[in-house]
Amino acid sequence: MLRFPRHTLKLVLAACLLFPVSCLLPLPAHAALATPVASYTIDVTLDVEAKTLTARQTVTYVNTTAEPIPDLVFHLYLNAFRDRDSLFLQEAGPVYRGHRWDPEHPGWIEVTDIRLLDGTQLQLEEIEDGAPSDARPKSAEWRLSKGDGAPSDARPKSAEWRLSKGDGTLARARLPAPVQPGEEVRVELDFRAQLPRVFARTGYSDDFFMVGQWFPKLGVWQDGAWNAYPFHANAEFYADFGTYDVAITLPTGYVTGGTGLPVSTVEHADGTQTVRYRAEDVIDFAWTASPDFRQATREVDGLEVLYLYLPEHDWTVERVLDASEAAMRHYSRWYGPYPYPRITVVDVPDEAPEAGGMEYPTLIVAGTMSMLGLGTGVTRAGFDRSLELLVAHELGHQWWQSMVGFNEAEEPWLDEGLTDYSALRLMETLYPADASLVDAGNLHIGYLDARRMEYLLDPALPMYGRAWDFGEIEYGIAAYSKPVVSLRTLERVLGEETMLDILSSFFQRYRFAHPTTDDFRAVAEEVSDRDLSWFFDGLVYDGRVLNYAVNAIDEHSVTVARQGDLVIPTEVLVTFVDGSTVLERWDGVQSEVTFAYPDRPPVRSAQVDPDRHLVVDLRWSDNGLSRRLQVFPWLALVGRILYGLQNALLALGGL
Amino acid sequence: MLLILFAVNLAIALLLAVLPALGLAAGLGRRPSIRQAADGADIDPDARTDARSTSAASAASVDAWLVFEMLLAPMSGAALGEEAWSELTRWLRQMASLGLLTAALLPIGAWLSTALLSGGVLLTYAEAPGPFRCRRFLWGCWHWFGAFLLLGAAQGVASLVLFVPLVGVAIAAVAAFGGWLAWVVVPLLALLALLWLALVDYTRIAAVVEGTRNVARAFGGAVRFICRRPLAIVGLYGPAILLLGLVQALYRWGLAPLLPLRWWPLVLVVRQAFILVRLWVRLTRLAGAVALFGARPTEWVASA
Repeated sequence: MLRFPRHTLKLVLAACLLFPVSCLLPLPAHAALATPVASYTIDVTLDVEAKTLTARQTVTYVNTTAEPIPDLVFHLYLNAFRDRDSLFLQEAGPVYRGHRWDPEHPGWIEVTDIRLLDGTQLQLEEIEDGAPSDARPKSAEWRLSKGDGAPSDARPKSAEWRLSKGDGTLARARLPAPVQPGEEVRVELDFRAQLPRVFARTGYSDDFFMVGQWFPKLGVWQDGAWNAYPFHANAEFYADFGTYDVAITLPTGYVTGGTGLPVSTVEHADGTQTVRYRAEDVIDFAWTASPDFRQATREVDGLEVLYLYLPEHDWTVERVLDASEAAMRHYSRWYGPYPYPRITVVDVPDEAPEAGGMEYPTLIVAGTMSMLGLGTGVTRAGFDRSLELLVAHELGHQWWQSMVGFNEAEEPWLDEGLTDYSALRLMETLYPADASLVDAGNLHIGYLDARRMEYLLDPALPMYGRAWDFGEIEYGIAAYSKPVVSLRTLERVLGEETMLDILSSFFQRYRFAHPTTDDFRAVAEEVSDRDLSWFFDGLVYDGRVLNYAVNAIDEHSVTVARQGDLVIPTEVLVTFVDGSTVLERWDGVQSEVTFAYPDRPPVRSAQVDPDRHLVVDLRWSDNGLSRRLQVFPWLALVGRILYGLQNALLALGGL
Repeated sequence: MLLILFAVNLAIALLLAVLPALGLAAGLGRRPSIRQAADGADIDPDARTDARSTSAASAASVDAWLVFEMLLAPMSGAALGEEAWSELTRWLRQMASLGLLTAALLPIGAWLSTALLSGGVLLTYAEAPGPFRCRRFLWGCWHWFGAFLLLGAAQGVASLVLFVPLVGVAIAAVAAFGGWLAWVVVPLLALLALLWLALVDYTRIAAVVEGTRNVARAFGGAVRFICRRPLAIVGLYGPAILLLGLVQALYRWGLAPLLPLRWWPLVLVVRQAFILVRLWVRLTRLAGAVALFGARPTEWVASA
């Protein structure tokens, strides 16, 4: 017979009683994905008439480094839109990415009080001298290598920026005692902010609000100093991971969206509501509000995709949800799972396109503007896939920026390049490669073609550089176009499988961390087990260029040549008159090589890089040569020209 | 008559195409990239293709990469450190010059051929139902050649002066007031263009039917006629333009996608057949216009 001891029975009874009670208790927090370094609790009130924010913020900062930290440096990004003297507006000029700053509706932020939680008052001082501090070495030596690793004079850096006076976008609070390694400090700030008329991705347009970079945000302590710059026009952002708990008070009737998930909504008797959001393991918090938002959702493998759209853009719903679903599925499969429960996509009004095209953790801002400047009507008709491309790109940033926290100011090519390359892959998965951007009758443009065109504008530009080292157009080439064509070349040289291995390994290893170009290089060379100096030293850090060409061909020999000092091994396909072929491997080291075939039939044609792996090759049109005129294609082309001329004559002669 | 018009159109186009054709032979003729520019050759199954997929419809268009590469050749040349006039850059400069020359000669060719042939064509229709007589046709061509040269020059200048500002205003209005305005502006512009076309045609018709080489007088007669028979004009020209549009659409979306583009001789023949049909539509319209003018009441002739 089995007998229970009396105390065991009491324990069992206690457990039976406690179990239903335990179900009422809050679930334990999930294991943190990131080490929380900078966490924010913010209570903010939006005045929708005055377009202002009033807030109280508590920052909890944990020193996870090995050095004591004597102060806290905050970004006050909104002050960049205060007046024309800001570094941002000086660099941006009268028009920034096609939009003008409205001096009648500027933006600013003012910290009215700052103190430790025990009440000790702190002083927040604007950082006047914008010169880079000698105390903090650059996070990576920028090598303009000409083969010996020494910095090159061929491409001098742009003049060091120096503020004539502080523009208010950086401020320092000295602490009464340094924060020791492993310790935390909690600081409370009261601040007010004026949102600008939408400019540079943030602000308002009538009753639409897109609120980004709106609160005092800490820089990143690295290498014994704060990595924090004044707000440059080209630069984006860099911050530590943490938890955000944000309560937004605004009029009832406004629909909001924000980073993370809404955890509560409380309506007040005065006609306002407080919506509280919570997000863990993120580097930023942005939010949006409008009384006109409608919502569409889709569930994708347990993830909720929420689209906040405006009624006049209801035609975008299916397209955005389809693109979002495809992006989240493919990127998760290619790189690693998306760990958050929701992704929010925000639409923007037609009169505020400058709010669109931006990424924040778990929230992206889309928009219907055409990247080709062709107008919303063309996008709506489906000829221009800018809408899908924008969604694909911004969702790519969820991996490359929101989870892998690159320093977007110092190494913009990394997050923009990897993201845009991801978007390219996705667009070519969903659409024909040569029509992935524009597909309109006889006009087809692939996204890679468009990026390659931009690359050809200045192919000698290195990808690596701080955001402010480049002018606006150069920045686009260095951070977007050249990385896309270079990464595609890397993919074709290594093979797609190896490329995905590299990216997924890099993601898994560095998610919720702050890797650099050197880290990416180490992973790439480790996973591929190849020397990738042509990619990093040739294309990333330097502006080496390459053109392979078949220069000469006769009956029994073929001469191929390399122009430029970028060397990438390739292949040469030789076709003989009897239809047989030979595929030669060429390391590209010598600038000219002749392949001779004295014992074979006469050569008909030759092609270097026949599969067009080397997207960085400046001219594909000279990659092949035939021994004789290609009569039939020439006649076909002439026939096409003739037909065009005949039609034109008829049209000019009165139809 | 249709064949004569076709022959003149083909001859002028061939003359204009010679230099660009020779230039292409020199520069691209031995490069496989000429296949990207020619019809259908980029879907050659014998050619190695890259890893990208291509859309079937894009096989009939020039690959975008080739266009971008050609346009940006000076930039890539500078990056490669080439001398300013490398072979490719020189060739591109030549082709650009030839292209500009062809573009300049095109309206001259249209002007000359229209001025030369209109007199004969309209005279034949005016004397219908009499048989076509080649000598009478040629006489008509020569008799009104000078007058129609003058008319063509005036038409060209007037078109630029009238329509370029109108189109500019229309675009500005649409940009200012919204895309909905395009639904109003575009049909208005189309109607204006149609009336302008009719005015020019009827100036020539009036000159031939009334046997005058005085272009100003003929213009006055045409204006009076159009003002008196606006609905008839629209009723003739409207369907004629629609017929032309239908022919274009049938070819562009019906026939062209079915053409096996690798069989370029067949493509050539089909395209020339299309040119013939287009010419036939024009001749039919002119025949109708002449008949309409010829049927005007006698008192209109007296008052002119």
